[in-house]
Amino acid sequence: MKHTEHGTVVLEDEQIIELFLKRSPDAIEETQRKYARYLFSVAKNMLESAEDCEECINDTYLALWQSIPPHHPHSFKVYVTSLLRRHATNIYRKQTRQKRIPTELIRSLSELEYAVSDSTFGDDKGSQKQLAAALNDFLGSLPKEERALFVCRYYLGQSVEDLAHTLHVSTHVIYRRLNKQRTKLKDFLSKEGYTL
Amino acid sequence: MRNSTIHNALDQLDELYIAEGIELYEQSLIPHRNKKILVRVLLISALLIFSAALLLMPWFLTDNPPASSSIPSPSPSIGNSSNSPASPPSYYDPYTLIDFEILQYDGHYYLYFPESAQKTLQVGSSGKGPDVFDATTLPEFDERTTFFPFESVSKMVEMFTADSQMPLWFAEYILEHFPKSGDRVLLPDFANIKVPSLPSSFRLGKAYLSGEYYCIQILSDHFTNGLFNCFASEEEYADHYEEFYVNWSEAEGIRILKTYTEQTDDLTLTITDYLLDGLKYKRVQTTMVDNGKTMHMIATFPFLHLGSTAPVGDDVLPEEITLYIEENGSYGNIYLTQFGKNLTSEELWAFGIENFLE
Repeated sequence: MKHTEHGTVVLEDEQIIELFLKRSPDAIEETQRKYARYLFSVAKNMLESAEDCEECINDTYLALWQSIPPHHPHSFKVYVTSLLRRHATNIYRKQTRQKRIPTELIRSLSELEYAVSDSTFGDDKGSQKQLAAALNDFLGSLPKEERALFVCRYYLGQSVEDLAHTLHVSTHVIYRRLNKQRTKLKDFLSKEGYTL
Repeated sequence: MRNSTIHNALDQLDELYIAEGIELYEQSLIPHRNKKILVRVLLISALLIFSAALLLMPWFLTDNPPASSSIPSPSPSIGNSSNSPASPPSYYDPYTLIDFEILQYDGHYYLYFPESAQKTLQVGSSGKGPDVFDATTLPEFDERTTFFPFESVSKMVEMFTADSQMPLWFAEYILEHFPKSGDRVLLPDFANIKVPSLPSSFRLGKAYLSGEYYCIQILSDHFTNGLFNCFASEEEYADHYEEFYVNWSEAEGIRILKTYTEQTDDLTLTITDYLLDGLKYKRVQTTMVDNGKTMHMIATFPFLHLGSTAPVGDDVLPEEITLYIEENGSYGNIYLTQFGKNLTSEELWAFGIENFLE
């Protein structure tokens, strides 16, 4: 167990996983206690309304409950985030049948689209896998700080303003760093032969 | 290439890289020690307290339990015709939400109002009327000080939608850091109704009429936000009504202690004391008829003695908040003194409380 910045006692991730594995009803509660704020924050990057965020988070909790066991995630935090992203995407797609609302994540993906737009990747699953491998290779070539920035912006959809606040720099600096990353990615894909 | 392709590819990023990103992301959620963090907080908790308090206003103004005759008649000077809901008054103009800073020191949190807000914040600290609060006098690191600095309920609602992770955080630190031993704090904690089909429980807020719609407000289990779900038909609303208003007491874990009802021509007050998870709650359901339509409002007060989880007695409630009405020109001002905030008739109107005042 450990204390949060608010003094709340929260369980370690492995202890929460154990609760899920034991089918303890406390598993959800402990997940909420530890991650509710984080999950809502990430969901808000991907969805427009608070109501959708709530729905998404509840879906995520349910998915956790249904998938553990048999699944035993290596990193609970990463796993819960990936579930959240999946459910947020589903909700977002449902929404966009009616109207298109650009969320922070969509804005960030549009930025990234520029970097890979000239590449040979298609929209099929094989290309997605290939692109994922290329992105992993690319991230592996970056310093840790830059990788984290990339993930925050493009995977978690964090706003440039929030990133600037977290890193105690101006938004201009963040824009510049992200732009540099995209240029690097474009060059990387070109060198690796992914560009037409 | 479509966004979805990139999105799906990102789903397959190395766990290690994602973990690094999450680590950085979480830093943005942590308030740093001794570092002033400017936060725009939406005080939905205070909003709910106000609405709940308003429900109980007639009760507080009289002896407990309320008698039919104790429910006061509306003051003729409140809500005059020139400011009826049909012609929205000018005070619907947006206010500026006051920014304030959170100071964290020695395990406690403090609110500090920046210079720009110092002269605009009004705090009814004494219950004798609004005072202009001078933030420069705030003993930053000496005492714990609570203020609820919002200027407009409508702005709060707007912010609530836009930035709704804040109430969770705000509620958390109020609950965890401000209460001292012996404090009694009225929590915006509504009927803790467990919804069996969901992994999370929900708290029922209030339902009210808004234009042609029936609205119900549900607070999520973890204070993240309140949801204003509007239903286009009475039938649709009725389903929720059944679940949250009629059958609420059948929810898992609720044990009714006592219920009593008071009724006037157009208003029914049903007060229920119940136990849930070892804590005692008082639920007040107000049902009123407005233009032939029925409106229900619910407030639930946990009898929670902060600092311990022991339930406390019935005598707590009147001490938790003090409300009174002061006539001021054509409007009545209501001061919620315990929480250091005067609630003006403008805010009441903005929140749709006018029905109570007419």
